[in-house]
Amino acid sequence: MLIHELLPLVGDVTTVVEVSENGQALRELLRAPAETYRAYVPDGEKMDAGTVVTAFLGPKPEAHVDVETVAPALRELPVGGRALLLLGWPVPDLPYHRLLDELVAAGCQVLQVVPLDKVSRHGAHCAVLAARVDRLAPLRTHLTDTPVVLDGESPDLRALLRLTGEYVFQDLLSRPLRSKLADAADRIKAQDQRIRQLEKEVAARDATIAKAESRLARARNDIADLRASTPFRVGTTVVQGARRPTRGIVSVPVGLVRIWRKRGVPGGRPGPEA
Amino acid sequence: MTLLTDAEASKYWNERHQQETDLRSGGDISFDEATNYMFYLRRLTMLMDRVGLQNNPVAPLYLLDAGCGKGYFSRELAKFGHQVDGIDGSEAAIAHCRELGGGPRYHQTTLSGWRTPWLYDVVFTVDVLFHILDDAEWARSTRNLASLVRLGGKLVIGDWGQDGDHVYGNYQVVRGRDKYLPLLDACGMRFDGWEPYRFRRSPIGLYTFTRIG
Repeated sequence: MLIHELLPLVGDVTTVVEVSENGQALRELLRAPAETYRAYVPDGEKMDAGTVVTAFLGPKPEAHVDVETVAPALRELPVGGRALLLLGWPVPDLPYHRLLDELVAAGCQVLQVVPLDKVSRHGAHCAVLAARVDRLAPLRTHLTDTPVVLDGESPDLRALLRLTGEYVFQDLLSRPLRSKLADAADRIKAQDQRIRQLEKEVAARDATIAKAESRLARARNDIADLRASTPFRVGTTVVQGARRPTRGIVSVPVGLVRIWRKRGVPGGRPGPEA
Repeated sequence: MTLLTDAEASKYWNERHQQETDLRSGGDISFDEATNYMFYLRRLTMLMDRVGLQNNPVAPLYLLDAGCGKGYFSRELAKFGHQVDGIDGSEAAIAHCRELGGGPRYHQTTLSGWRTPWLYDVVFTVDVLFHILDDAEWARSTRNLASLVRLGGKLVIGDWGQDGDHVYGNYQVVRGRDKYLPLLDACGMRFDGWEPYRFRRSPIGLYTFTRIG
């Protein structure tokens, strides 16, 4: 649901009372008319059944208010008054327990919790829609987008039996899921640690390999220098001549002459064919 | 005319899903593929009216397409961001659905035999229950589908809206509101209305029930 679809969802509204530092932080987001919008003042103007208390609760003190700040406004709501509370926590991690405490203490029924679209634009992940009641208001379902009606038929015994039954079974089924989720989170954490450890080991091996490659390159240079040296070439020529004496009579003097002619030539290392 | 037995009906549907084109196989076989496409779209928009026009990827709606055939409604509703389970008794149809993918999870089962620990926001069965020829199995299927709807959730059934039963050919038995309303009232479902398809001369439409208890 889009954030500007929330206020129409609340139903008949005559006044929106915002709990925040300046009392105007949410007006544009909610697209509320200026003439019906005012800041909350503790024990100020009396609220009526057409009043909606709104606030943005969340984890960032610089952007959000806390539940203790909103609680007095909720307690001032008369029967029929409503609350529209934006929440700045991601839905899967929603810490709703303190808010629920205050809503119940203020005699409010949570009618719907609406997940919101375009979170990156405004930072509100969901909105709680609640109403001060003196009897149970009609139940609403997930993602219902028809305006709230409080004076409809209360859920009868059969509906309440169903509601409590669904709660009990869902509570049972959520336990193994919660346990699995915790196990999965632990496994992911352990895997992350293992990955970091492996990354360190790979980095250490990379460093070792780099050192070995450097030593190898130096050794290759040394070998090349050795092979290019006159004593090595003279020795090689003589050894080849000794192995094949018949050819050596010619090849040794010729080889020695070649070596003598190339004496002092810079970079006299053998070429690739050597 | 003698109606097909359960085994014959099961064989008929499996073969029909193998032999017929995508939409004719599960749609109205008297229409060609293009007309069936219109017919499917017509019913899809009616389903959208009942499922609602909101979605959310973080907290989606959960839907059951009971008798999904080759999965047209399942796939289209999954495109809207809903989590859809599709069930059907035809092995060929389910194999086709799984091959196409598209988001829904498919299971081969009868409507009366589907078991899950999770309830649905909306259970819909479009033009399927009148293909269950045995009255007892029809009642078991309808009750089972109703039991899968959570409080406040909806059960949407495609069948005809008049009283009484009527047999078409040897593989269709439409049941009227005098059958559906008392059975589902006993299951805690409120009758919200019946709306005809208004497509060509189809006598069928959608029943909508809401769980209130």
